[in-house]
Amino acid sequence: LFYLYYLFIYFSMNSVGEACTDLKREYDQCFNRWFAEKFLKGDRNGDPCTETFRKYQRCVQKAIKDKDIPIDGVEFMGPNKDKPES
Amino acid sequence: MNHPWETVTKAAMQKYPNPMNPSVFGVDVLDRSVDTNGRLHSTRLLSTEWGLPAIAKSIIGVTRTCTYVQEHSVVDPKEKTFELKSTNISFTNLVSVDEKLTYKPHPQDPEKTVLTQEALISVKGVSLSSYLEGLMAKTISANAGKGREAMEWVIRRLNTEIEELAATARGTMRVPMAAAVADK
Repeated sequence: LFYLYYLFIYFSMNSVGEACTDLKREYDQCFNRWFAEKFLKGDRNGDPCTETFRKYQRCVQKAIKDKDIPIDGVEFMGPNKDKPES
Repeated sequence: MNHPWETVTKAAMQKYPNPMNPSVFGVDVLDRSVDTNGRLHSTRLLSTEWGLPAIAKSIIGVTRTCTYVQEHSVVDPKEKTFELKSTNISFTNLVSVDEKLTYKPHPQDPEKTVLTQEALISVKGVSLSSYLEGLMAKTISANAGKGREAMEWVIRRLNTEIEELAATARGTMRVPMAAAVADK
């Protein structure tokens, strides 16, 4: 499966925060699997990616602040933010 | 597009990178949640880098620049709609480009998907505005064809990954790691 790992890396996108790319890819892998195999097939159980998403989010939020990117109206997931249950 | 809606939606969600949009260098998810109607909302940041024509230097002062686009999308798995709305958040003092894309199953053929794409462009405070708007409209319209090509590329790529995963699982493909790296 190492071959597939390299295929995945070759065709993967980067994050705007260079330091966040690995976290982003981990999250994307989790999300894409859940999206294709559960969500689109009508499985309404919760998405299993919240932990990886939180880690990725913390990194991206910092990168956006550092690069002064004018994001409009997004409340980043913080320790107090409640994600609605699916 | 000659693919069912689920295939197109999966591909559209992973649209970047693709060779038709080389200027997009970053895609980040800023927020994501499922609403009470079971629809998935995502807010994403697209980071692009452009090499601009030389005239850009006299207008915005640079010829290489990062521009950012914020996109909000909604996937409704019951109604089978995937709608994306994007707007530039860079150079908003100069130009406003709002795009809306909707993917739905073809009304007569469920094996096909219809993409509807709209763009609203306005250029601010520049006397050449109608010329520039016309130019941007032409570019966006030409890029709509490129967008379809990009989707076909992503769909082929995802199908290749699935086939290779299946072949590996069956044990019919054993590729030494060194050879795979050399291949790249």
